[in-house]
Amino acid sequence: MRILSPIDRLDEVGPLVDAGVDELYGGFVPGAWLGRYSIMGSTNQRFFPGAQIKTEPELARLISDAHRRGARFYLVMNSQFYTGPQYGELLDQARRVHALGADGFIVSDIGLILRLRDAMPDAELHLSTLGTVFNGRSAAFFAGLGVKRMVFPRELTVAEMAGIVKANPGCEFDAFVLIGKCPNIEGYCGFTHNSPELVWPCEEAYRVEAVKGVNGVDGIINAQMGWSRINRRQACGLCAVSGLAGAGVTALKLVGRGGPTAMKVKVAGAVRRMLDLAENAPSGHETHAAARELYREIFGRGCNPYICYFPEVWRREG
Amino acid sequence: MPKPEKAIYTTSLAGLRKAGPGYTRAYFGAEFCQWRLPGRAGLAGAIALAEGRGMSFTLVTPWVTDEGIRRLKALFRVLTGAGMKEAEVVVNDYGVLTLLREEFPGLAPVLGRLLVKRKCCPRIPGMLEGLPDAGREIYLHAGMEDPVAAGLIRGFGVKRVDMDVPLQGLAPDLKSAGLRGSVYTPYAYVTTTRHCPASFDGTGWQAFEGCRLKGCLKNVLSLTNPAHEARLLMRGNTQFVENRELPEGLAAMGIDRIVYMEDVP
Repeated sequence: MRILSPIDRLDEVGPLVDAGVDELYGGFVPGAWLGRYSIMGSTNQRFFPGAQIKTEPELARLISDAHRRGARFYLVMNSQFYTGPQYGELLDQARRVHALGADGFIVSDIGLILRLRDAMPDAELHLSTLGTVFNGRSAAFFAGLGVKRMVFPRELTVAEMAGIVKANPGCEFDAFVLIGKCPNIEGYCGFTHNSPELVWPCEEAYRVEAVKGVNGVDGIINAQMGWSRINRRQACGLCAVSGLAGAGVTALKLVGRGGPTAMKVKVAGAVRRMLDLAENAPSGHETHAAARELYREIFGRGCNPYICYFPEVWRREG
Repeated sequence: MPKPEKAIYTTSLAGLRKAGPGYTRAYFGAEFCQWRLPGRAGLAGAIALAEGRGMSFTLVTPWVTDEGIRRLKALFRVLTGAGMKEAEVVVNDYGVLTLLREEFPGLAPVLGRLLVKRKCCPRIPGMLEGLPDAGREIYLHAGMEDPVAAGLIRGFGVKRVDMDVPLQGLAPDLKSAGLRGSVYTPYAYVTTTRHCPASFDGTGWQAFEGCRLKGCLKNVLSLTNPAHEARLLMRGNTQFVENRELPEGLAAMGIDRIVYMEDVP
């Protein structure tokens, strides 16, 4: 399996590749676009400047450096949707970045997928997690639009992923394994990530009360409030790496655009170590012990079911 | 100008029984969770109730896993077997759309509000003022207004798309996309999850592997936060805002059906 890491700056290429990353993905919003729509109208699903590669020359050098070091680069253009006047500009941007050598585009909007397929038939199209592929038929639908590779939603079990992979032998699939787990389904979520403090509506502390409450409502309230008691940016699915390999997943995807370089490098190194361990076919117990040790090494604390990427593994293994 | 069609949307037989007069179509089913889908007998009962009241019938379906696809096939057989004229299925999953076209071509697909795509965060009204005009405009529109995307889904037999009205309002142009629209009121969905608190049993969320708790059926939560004025209402795995204002000029936007909810779905 490959490791797919976020990247925001040219100087991150070397450390990330050295840590074991095979592929990189990042966003870039042209200045003219920013002037017209602001960062809130971003071309991708990140709405703060730290999560974007700053200039086209930097993007060009980043792609070139990645290739020189044997890594691929994908540009993220995965807004939930675009409006009519935006498509022409998006195609122009895609053509320019394709000419710079980008290896593909991570997209979700059907209008953009169809336009890219028709205008740039040699461009590799990956479906973002915002495409919400929850079943084999849905994957086949997007494959029929020309999508070659798909990022699974964060809410599938390993067994469900295996079923989708098996039903779509011509496609490749990515699964998230570390950092940013959303409480909600990203592709169906309308929350706006625009707080200057980078605290999103899904992680704020809410006052939660029953409007209609009968059986077990206190437990439901407590379960919902749990999200404000944990750091969802410390999410982990390392225990499932062997299982994901067995499921036929192509790449392990790391979240964290806009995050510190040191954390990106640390988590990439942890996943590489987990992959190396998986090659030796360890027992389930050994896998879990190693994953939990790595987790504590990265985050300085034990893991938690709320931020476990594969809660069915948590329930099974405890 | 013809009045828009009035539909009632409910997730239970009891809700359908209680529906007031004036509705000509029943929306029935589950929009956000495959474990809340009715069984075959429940669906047959809802169809019979709707027919008895002279209403057309629309089965509402959620995003689904492969297990959900299997469940839906059984329901689609019931709906097809009922032989209703103008029976519709609201799809919120492209896999379900292909299933309908390939195996149940007699059922009319309607694209659901999870797939139509629009901005709906309760923070939006407070942030619009600082945006440039073109940036503000985005928040009044939806993805399925795009004629290219709309052309694709029309090829799958979709003639109608369903929407709701976020707090900042809505001004879609569905006519140019060759589609007709419905608007749901008053609960506009904001977000949905598989980490359903009403399925949390202390060690995890049953919603990942089936759900026996079903705390969603009788409990609704209110979530409030000083960062946004509107409170969120949460039933099961889904959060909504309540917005009773319908936009002016629905017909000009291509919207000819209003889907009323008497409870949080």
